[in-house]
Amino acid sequence: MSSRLFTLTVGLITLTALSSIQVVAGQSRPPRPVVVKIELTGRCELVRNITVVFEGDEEHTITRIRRDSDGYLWTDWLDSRNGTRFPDEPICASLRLDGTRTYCRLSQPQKNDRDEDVAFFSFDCDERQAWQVTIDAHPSIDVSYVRELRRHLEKTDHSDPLDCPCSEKAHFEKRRTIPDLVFPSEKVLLQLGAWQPDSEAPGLLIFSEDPKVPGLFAFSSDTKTRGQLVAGPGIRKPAKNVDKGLSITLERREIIRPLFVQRSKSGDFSSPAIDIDEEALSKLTYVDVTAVVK
Amino acid sequence: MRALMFGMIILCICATAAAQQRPIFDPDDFVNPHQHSGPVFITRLVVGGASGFIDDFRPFHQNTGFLQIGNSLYWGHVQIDYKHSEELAKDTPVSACLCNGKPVYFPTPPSPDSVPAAPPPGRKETVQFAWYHAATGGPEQPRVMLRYRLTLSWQPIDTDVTSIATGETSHLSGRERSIGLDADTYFRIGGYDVRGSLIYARSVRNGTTDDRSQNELAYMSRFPGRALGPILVRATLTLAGVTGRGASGLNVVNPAFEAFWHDPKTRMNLHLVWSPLAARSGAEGWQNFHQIAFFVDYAPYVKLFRRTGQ
Repeated sequence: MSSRLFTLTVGLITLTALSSIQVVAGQSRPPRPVVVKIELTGRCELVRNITVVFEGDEEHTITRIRRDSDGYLWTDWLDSRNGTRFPDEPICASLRLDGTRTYCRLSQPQKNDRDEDVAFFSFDCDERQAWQVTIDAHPSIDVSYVRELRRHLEKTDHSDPLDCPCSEKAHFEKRRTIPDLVFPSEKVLLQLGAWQPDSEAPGLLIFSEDPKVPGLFAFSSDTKTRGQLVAGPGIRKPAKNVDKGLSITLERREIIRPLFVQRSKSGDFSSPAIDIDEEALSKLTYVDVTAVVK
Repeated sequence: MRALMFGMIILCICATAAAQQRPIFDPDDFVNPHQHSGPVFITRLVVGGASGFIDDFRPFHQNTGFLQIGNSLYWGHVQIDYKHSEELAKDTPVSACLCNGKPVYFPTPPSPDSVPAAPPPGRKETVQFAWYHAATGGPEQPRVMLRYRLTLSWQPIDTDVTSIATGETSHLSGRERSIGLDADTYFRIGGYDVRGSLIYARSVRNGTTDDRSQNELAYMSRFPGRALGPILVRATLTLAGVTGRGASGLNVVNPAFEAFWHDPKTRMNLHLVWSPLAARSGAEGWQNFHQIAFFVDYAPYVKLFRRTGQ
């Protein structure tokens, strides 16, 4: 009798706990507007076309930005994050600066004249040349990408607690330009056939620094052409020179091979992993990838 | 609770039954769960042959043809496989005489302190349950996906035994059953990734002319693959301690060298594997065996199920 009572009690507690979890998980709070103030220092402060990427969402970027008389940039963002939000949780953001980009930074809470919460960002302009990489899939298929950039001055005495690692993602169909990529600092995974970007999913590297790891592009190590963008390791097709850049056209099989060569680096020759790539890309005939500087 | 009970029942069935670990013709089937957004079902066909076939660290002393049909389901972090394989080789006739009331079989099976012979060729059924888990590779390293897998296999062994004295034939219905657990491992030494698998397996053969059992504890190190033109090559090294051969401790050293080629037109994968085996037994000490296998694998049916909203 007592064991039945015990089972019943445990069952009831479990049910109650499960329902509470469901209620909490099911709660969706409306997005909360956040006023954003940006300070941009360095030689980029005169850039006109500025895009802000909040919380790694490069699919929904903010381009409507106004500049005040003190040179600060102002915009609004809808904080729809689950769990803690601004100002209790800082926002991580970075800027695209029409030919260059910034590292990712955390917001600091401030108040404006009307005593509203303001997310304040201070960015230093990174003047390194950035690449505009256009992906054009024929015919149209789902394409995702994940770009990752480590913290600025990570593991040095000059590291700033307001720096945050960038993991910026987007999904598109057919064609899109990935703006302001800084090679070799940024790791960009192209996930052809994927409807959702996933930083832990395998993908084709757009740029590879390591000659043993396949990637679409690399910097030449040849003495005469050192530093020029060339077709990457494992890409056996020559790239074409285009105005201010390079273009490469890859057929389906030329995409699948670098993927399984990448996987083989972990000692794995998985046949089903190849089959999944073949099936996911079965509709793709070829993809054009063009990298240019502005 | 029901799942746990089901698992316990399966484990109990297997403990009384049993699996050899991966035969040479079983292709790699690791799939990072992040590679597929929905469930995946794959049917695979493997056809090939081996010279000096070795089955679970036991030499067969014959050339063998083989065929395997496998069905695999990848669902989230779970993988379930059912594989049917057939090993094809010449049957060796067995005869027996009664000496002191006990049957003595010819050809004489290896002694208990020798490296056992592989079971005779035949069909084998294998079921595998695997679970993938992402381990942190360190603050600077991406997460590493590891797989933990339970393998159960069952092989019927039917033997016709001819009496030397009377010429009459009797029939033995035996079997080999095995259970195996393997866990992927990953660590870094001196800046290098070290990947491998830790394997435990128990095999029991009974109802045959050569009843044996063995427990094995093995570590297989997988070295990074390398592209040589269109071909990928890699090496593995397995070190194992196997019971039931009169020598304790490390008694198996089994490197393997594999060349792999994927044909994009036919979607077939061609494998050429050379796998020398050094095995130590109480009776013979260290002995060397060589196994070379060539096989082709092909998936005639691949289905990627898409999640709602795609």
